[in-house]
Amino acid sequence: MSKSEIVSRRGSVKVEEGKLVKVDVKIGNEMIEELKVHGDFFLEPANGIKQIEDQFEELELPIENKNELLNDLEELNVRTIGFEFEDLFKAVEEAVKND
Amino acid sequence: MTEWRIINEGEFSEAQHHALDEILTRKIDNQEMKPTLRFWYRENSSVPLGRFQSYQDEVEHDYITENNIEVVRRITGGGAMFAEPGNVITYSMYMPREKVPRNIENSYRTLDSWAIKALKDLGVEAHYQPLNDIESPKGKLGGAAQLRKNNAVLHHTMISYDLNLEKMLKALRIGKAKLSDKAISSAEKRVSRVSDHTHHDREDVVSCLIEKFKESHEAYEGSLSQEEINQGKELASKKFEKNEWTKKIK
Repeated sequence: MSKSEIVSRRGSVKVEEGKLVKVDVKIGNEMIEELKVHGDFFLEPANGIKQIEDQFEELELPIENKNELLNDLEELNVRTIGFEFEDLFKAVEEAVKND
Repeated sequence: MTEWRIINEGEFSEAQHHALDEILTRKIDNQEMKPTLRFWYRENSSVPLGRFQSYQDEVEHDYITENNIEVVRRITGGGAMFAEPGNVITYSMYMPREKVPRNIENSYRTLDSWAIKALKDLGVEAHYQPLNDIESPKGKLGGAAQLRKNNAVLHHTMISYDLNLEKMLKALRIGKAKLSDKAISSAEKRVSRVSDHTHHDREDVVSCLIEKFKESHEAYEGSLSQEEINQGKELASKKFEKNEWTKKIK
């Protein structure tokens, strides 16, 4: 697949009484090629960000296995502070939705 | 009661301060150091970025470059701040994890409580605002951020003493990031400064903070060791001064 077929999209969610979660998603071949999470939230351990991002890699679109994905995220040994994985999922959905 | 070391000296670059935070937190984690409260003195105007923030989203790159503002990614999460030497009060606390409430909100509330009491003594109507803010009725005065290791907690707090808000708004991309309508950056909230509430100068405020801390903690005023300073300088140049860390260029 050539690089030109990859599109970059962005999604964000401001958690009520919480933090801002933003995602930069690279989409190609009807799947997520790469996902980066940004924002003013906290994570423990901090290097858990990579594990979270990796869960989305090569995820086929549209996302049909939401609950499985959320379960996998919950099972990571990473504690989120200022957002829930559900919020992250909303930001990803916003980024990947067809427009 | 554990005796704390208070360090109220040492002017460093933003990068060196963050390197010292990492080194001193590691020393606590390795049980090589007494709990320590360290006040920061800066050499430059700066922007400490949250660990997970995007440089491009948070920082006005042209203004930062033209004005020699030092941008450094922190090891803690949270949001970007703007700092100027003499116009903010920053402190770091390094302590064993078992001394800190397990509940995150309780830990923020507890670890800044002495500072809030000190501000109140000076006539500043400060209060803790969950999760990690210090607020007054006029707006946000400051914020804290934490990092937990196996045996250690780093808690650092920055309070605006007399920040130039015009410069702050030029340096930070507050409200300029391409967000959805409902996504409003926490930084857009109103900002307030200690100097808006009290006539005490910055040095007085820091002295009052130290006195208040000593009321609830056994403590002595000490210094960084030469080894700690050297390690800080080394780690700053290896990590915190590098674009790979602060800009996360992929």
